[in-house]
Amino acid sequence: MRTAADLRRKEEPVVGPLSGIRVVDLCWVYAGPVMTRMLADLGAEVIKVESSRRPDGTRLGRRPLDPVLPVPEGANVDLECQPLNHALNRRKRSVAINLSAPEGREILLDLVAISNVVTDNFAAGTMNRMGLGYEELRQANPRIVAMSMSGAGQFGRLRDVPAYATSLAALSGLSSLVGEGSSLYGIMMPTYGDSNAAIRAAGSLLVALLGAVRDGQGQYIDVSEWEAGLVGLEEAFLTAQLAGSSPGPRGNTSSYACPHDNFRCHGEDEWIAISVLSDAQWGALCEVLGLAAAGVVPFPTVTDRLSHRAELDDLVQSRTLERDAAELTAALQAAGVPAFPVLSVEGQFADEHFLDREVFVQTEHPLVGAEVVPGAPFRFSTKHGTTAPPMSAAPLLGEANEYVICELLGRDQAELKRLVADGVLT
Amino acid sequence: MSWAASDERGRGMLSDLRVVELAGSVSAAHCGRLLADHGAEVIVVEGTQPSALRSRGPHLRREPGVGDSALYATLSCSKRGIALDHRTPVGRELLRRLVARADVVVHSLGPAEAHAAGLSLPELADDHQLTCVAITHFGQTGPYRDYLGDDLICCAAGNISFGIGARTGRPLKLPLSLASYEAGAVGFLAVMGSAVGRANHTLDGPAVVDVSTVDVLASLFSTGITAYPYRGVTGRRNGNHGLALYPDVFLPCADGFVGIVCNQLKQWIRFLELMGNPSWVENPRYRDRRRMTEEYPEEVDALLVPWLAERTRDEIFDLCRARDVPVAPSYTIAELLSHPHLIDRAAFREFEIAEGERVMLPGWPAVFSSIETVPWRRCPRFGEHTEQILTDLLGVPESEQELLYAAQVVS
Repeated sequence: MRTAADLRRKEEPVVGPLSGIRVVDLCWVYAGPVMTRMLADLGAEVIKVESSRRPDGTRLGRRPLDPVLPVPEGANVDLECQPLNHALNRRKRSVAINLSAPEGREILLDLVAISNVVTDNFAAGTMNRMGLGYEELRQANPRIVAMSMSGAGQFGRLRDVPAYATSLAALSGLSSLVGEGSSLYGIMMPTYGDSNAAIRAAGSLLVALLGAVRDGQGQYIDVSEWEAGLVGLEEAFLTAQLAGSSPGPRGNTSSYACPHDNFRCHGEDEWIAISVLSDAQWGALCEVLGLAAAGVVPFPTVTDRLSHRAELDDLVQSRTLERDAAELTAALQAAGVPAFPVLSVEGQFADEHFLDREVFVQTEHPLVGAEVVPGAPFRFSTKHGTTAPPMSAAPLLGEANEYVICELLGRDQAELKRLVADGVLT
Repeated sequence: MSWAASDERGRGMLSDLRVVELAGSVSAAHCGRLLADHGAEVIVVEGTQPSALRSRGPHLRREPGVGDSALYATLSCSKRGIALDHRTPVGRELLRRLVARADVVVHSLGPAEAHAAGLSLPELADDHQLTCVAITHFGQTGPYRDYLGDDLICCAAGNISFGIGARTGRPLKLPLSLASYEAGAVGFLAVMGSAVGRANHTLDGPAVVDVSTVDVLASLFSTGITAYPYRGVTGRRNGNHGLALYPDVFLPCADGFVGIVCNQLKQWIRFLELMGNPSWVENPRYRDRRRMTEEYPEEVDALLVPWLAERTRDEIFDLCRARDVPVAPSYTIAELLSHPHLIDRAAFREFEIAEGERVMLPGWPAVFSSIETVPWRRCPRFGEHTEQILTDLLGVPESEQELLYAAQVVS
């Protein structure tokens, strides 16, 4: 009978700029795991600390996939078949530790002592309540870089505000900018606030990690996902102060490009994005769409076009309606006009760009077999070739128990068995 | 560096990092700004005509004017600027010498242009500990590597626009230049990863990092990828509704809008209790939260709106917080600047954007126990540091400099 640990892919030499960096990852749900996934993409060894007693929410719910491979001994099928969990945690390891047990907490601190980074995205103050605050972590390892991500940060009068994508978008002002005309939609994709916070948090963590590696300086980092959502709105904060009023939704319009919109094409819900950034591009667009009657280009300057936006959009729309979005994109790009079809995820799966560039990567999950997950958002190369660490499927819960307890912490098999029997590793 | 007095530059975690940024894109500029925030010395190479970004709104004066961009002033603060046409042979050589003195290059050139500028991997010296980050729309490889784009195009290709907007209406891009900001922030974290690798001796020799805005959006922000393979097309536009169980909705109230999201049934039950358990709760039609989101969300909205319309955002927020129901007020941009919680956390910092004109801008979105970002300094005027950089960094004699100006290689 195979065990979960047997299924861990054969050890390959780890590469990437963060190779040798070990992350003790207490993050769960969405924002935190996206952040540590990027650290794994840079070559860090990310050990996800979780427990079947209180599983990561992304492991739960109605099981969307069923095993196609034999279920390893000890694996709980109901916690292993969620594609979202697999997407968020590929390239990571998992150790199952019951942190409510005093011995579980001790194991965690022993692991912290031989690691570089500890991350969590619990509600503010949770790590302190668990006896795992920065003071305790620092006692275990003075060089540790500890990061807590939460909705509104660890201090401030609204520190207990939970982080949901919908509420983050509202709180950060983003909702006030999403819409067109008098319609405000507020909500966008369910993950904007999480992924944005993950990117900002990962950058912050690496600033601190540089201090730790270079100068031996430990650090605690308090990330507010709400504040992370303000950074990209810099332009709106400028407008509010310099023009004296808060900006509102602007649809797809631009103050410097016209036409600049998504236009309907042939087929159900098929659209093409066209952005005309110069008069020359406008001339080329008119040529391709047959709008330059007898060689005369209407609205030749950007000022003309911006002041006749609605009229112009109707004109362009009338010519794109019967065109195929992909074919028109090729014609426009060949003529030097920025354009691209508005892709659904189905369209992305059919487009060679995304597989070519490993935006989507196939993994072999030990239970569900072949599965596509998101790749890294960057590609590192050196003169020795690409530095991407090997891709691995998301870990089964606790699949690295033996690795952590025996290999990293140097305890023996008997001790491992006892910890499982005592409910410390669970 | 003789031209950068240490007391002026402050310290910062990256004070020994020299960055060359080729101007032109919001994403590269944002990446450079994040590096400058931690004390990196960032030199912007602008070409002999002012960057188009210098004219992009919002503007400093209350009417548009060339070279008057508040956005540029913000994106490029704390940097130095040289006006140098690297597309001429002499300019290319000067850029090569500048890059040879740098630790990081950030640019938005496509593969052919990057090669022409001497920034592709084979052209970098084997022993140069340089990280060269290219942030472009479609990346340095793949079928669209030479395609033109902007935020609208990237949101279309990245499966973002498909999910924003009215259900049967026009797909919408992310507002402002958000897509570019996200790509710039990914560029920053890649630079930081390489800085850690060099300090840790796990990265050696020149490294090139390829960041594509489309790929950033598709891999980090698009939600369809995890559901598509087993559920078909997902993430379609749903107006003011999310795709989770009802309520995941954005609705008007007495003085604005609120976002309401109840992932857990008990939260929805508590919200209904706050509403006084209206009689429609008993109707089975309003018990299937999936159908409520997918099939008749507007009908359910209409049942909530009258109760919301009698209350302000703050009243609703307070009521819901007391019962642990995740509801949040939608703030306008101006309201955020004086929000008590954000003041508690000093989330905004003052910036003298122009002589005598001060604005508040979002600060670094994390509080460190012992790292501080450096104070913002005014952005460089066009060509402001050309002469300084030629003299002090590149050692170009004055007589040669005159020739460079005359030949319009520099400005």
